[in-house]
Amino acid sequence: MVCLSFFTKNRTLIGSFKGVDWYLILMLIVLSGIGLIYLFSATRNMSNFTMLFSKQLFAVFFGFFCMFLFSKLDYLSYFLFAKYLYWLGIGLLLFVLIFGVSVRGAKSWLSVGIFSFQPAEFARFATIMMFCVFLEKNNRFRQTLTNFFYALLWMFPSLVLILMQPDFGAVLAFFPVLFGVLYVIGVRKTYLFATFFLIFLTGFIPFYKTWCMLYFQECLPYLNFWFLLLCFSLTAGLIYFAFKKIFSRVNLVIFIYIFFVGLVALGLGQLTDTFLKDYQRNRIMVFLNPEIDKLGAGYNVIQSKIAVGSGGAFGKGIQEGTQSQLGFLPERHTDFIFSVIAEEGGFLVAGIVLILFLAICFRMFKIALTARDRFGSTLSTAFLIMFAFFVILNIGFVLGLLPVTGVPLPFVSYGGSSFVMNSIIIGIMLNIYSKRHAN
Amino acid sequence: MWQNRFNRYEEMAFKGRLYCLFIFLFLFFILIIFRLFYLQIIEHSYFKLISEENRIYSEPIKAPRGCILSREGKVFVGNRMGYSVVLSRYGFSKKIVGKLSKYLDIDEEYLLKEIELRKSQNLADILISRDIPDELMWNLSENLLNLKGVKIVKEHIRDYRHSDIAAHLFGYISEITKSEIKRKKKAGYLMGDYIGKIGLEKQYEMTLKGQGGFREIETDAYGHKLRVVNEKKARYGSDIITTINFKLERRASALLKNKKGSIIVLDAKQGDVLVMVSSFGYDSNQFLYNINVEKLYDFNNPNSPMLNRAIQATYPPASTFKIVTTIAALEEKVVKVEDEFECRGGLSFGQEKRYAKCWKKEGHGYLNFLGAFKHSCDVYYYNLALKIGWDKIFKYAEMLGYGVATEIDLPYEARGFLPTRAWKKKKFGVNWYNGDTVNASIGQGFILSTPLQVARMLLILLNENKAITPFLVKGKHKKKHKKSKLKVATKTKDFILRAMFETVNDGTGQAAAVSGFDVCGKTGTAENPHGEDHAWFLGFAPFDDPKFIVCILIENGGGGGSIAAPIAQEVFKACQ
Repeated sequence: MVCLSFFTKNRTLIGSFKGVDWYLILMLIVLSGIGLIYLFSATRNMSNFTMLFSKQLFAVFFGFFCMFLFSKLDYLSYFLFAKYLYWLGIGLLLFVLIFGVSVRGAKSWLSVGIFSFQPAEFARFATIMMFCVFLEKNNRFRQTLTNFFYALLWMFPSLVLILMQPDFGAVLAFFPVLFGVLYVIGVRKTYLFATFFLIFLTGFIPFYKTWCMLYFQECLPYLNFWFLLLCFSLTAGLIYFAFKKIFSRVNLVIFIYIFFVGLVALGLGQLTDTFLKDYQRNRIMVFLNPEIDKLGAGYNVIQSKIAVGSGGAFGKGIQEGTQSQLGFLPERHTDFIFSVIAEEGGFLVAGIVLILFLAICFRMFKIALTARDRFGSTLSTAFLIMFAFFVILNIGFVLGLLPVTGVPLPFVSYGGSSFVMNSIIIGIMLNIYSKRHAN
Repeated sequence: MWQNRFNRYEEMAFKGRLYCLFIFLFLFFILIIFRLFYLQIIEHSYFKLISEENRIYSEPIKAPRGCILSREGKVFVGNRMGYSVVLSRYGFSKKIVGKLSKYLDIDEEYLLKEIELRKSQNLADILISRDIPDELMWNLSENLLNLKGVKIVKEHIRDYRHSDIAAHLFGYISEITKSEIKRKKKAGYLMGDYIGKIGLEKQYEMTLKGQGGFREIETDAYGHKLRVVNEKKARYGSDIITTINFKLERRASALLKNKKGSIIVLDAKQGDVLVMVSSFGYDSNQFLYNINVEKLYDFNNPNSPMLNRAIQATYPPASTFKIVTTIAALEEKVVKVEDEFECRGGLSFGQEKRYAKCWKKEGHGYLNFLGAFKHSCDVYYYNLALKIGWDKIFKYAEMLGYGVATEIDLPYEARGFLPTRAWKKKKFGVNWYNGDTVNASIGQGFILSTPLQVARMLLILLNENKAITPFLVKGKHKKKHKKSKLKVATKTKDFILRAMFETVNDGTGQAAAVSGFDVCGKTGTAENPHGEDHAWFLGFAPFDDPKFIVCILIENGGGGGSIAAPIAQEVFKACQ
């Protein structure tokens, strides 16, 4: 099965450029170029500008090199590699938990010489790869519950290990990939719905409690587990009788099944709420009402919105952005780079960047459609979802649509690990594309 | 197309779901584009404004207020340099405030509240405490390293160095309130600015305040000043020279020490206010700082120190009003100077046989007009009043300025009160009786006037063709002297001046006599149903060529002749 195309076929130079998705590559070059320009503008006045910028420049070249390399590696070989990659990722995560460098309260960085990288980036890639390989291998049983649980089980270890760092943002990307891929693969909708219900309720309870903290403090003492359980049971009962009234026949087994999932979610939600760190609680609060802490946790969101809004149609010009250059915008070269683009480049450049992202997503979608086999399609879908999720989440919180989670903007934000990992993903997709007609 | 041909159906289903997924993602992108459009195009101007406010700080340059001088050029109210503690807007933290509150000995919560208020002013520095003592200043400067963001700035502090003698005159300034800013939008006040609240400080606010400037500074997010974008220089406030005679003012305020009352000295020809003292007084300096509730409470004390008794308090004019009745009687030719009436200590009149007493129980016996005036015989005036009637007395009283504001250049002046028949009918539902006329003729009953109005009566009388307005600042006071309607015959005027001279030399006002300085005057004792009588003295000197008009009122003092006249004597001595 090992078929490294680079060594077997098309050994000529022209042959190796055949079937390459030039649109995708061109768009990526333009995007990275825009990213570098605004990164330059954002970091120009920083004390360690030379170091930062040269590191990123290196990451860009190294990333494109990796892209080239991986586009030559036959994606079917991951059937063999995935397992090792997966365990390597887990190992790295364990390693970073023990020997990692603590940056802003999260033990997520590993230093190798002058470079440091985030193992979570690699682990996510490897886990998703393993997930896809597992689904492909057990495609026959895709409708069974056991298979569904096993698939989730593969996700679980790295999820927990990343949460232990803790890096909330890095974990988030797992869920849309999980749901998206399982949905596209064709898992039974009931399972999917139950899982979604579980995760939604788990996530909903901390939000709901924080909302009560903000607006209904007097009812907070009643919001314990037993009260919520009572509410939940009553609601479930009501829904059951309503269904019975309307459809006259209800599948009681499925209903009870969903009811128990809800119970578990309730417990999990309570647990999450208890273990929520103060800064995370603050972020949720600020998302619900940014005005509550203008100079504290809400500062980022407000300043980012001001930066974007004050940019206008054509922007203030490179290095002319008052919000970014005078330091009002925090994290301007990493998480909030899109604010800098929107402020200095205006709607024009920000719109171009958005359309580039959309077009890249579209190319990835095309690759998923035209892939040679199901595994290629599955893998492309997983990467598409991950990529799109990062873009939507990052720009979403920059524009104040979503709560602030520390995720970088692919190909634009400062950060070597992210750039290289994204390049590798694109490399793999290029390979899938180039193999679309192969036998 | 997948190469495995056996699962074509599965492939179609797979790709169908993939389409759904992509459309789902696409919707998110559309949402983001709309949001971007909304922020950058629709709400652009709003965010543009905020980003400018973020970056540019307007630093006010304060203009020192003009001084208030006495007529000799002595500084009544000036400025001095003082030190204030400010906190940089960015250095703000609860820890620092806690430390500061310990240094300054102010309650921390109170300080935090104040800071919250001042933060809304959008100034680069938040004022913490104004005009700290030198000792504290040195102590703080030594510890500035521990107090990040705290700065000590030098600034002009209003200095009321003679607040003990003329506090009511110049009043005070204190920080402008929000409603005042709204009301005076055009004047360009900022939060934290001072504004005159009362007295000359309020009256001549526009002259005194000058025009503050500002400096627009670009700052970064950490509050570092980068460059000056725009600057407007401050224009200093101009000084005002009052008509107050410093020495006299000081002497008069010493005379009123521990007494409730007021002394007014006017220039008899021009209407300059030479002295205006009201006791009890207050310390104008305390309003410069934050007013504590306890201090405010003190102002509600029974001595009402905030009241300027010379122009804001009204009293029955008592016997000083007899001058009006005299003029009315002589001008209307109701009596002749030689006419005599008998005083038996009281008079019963009308069909109801009402009885009105004279202040002297045993009676004055037979008196002519001059005698009645100088001994202040009430019965004689009752007789006169019954003959003249209220309407005519009212006419002369109004022309002499009762019930009409003097329009002196001080704010919040009381108008006094002169009753009419219609007013009484409306208020009490009964007619004006002869008893009311009798009462009013000696300045009792419903009549109320301020000491300045009483003094102004004499001013009008002495300059009969001009209704002179007393004033405090020469040149600035724009009210022109109106032509008076009053045309008193020389004979009448001479008679009154003569009578006043006699009063001091051989009548109720003997205690006011000063040798070598022909003092003339009229005493008054206002009956006060709530307590001790109010003592009045109204006089002028010298007799031949009047230079000074003196009006004295001692609240709850007692008899005019025994209490007010001796004080008048001291005042005239000082004038001489």
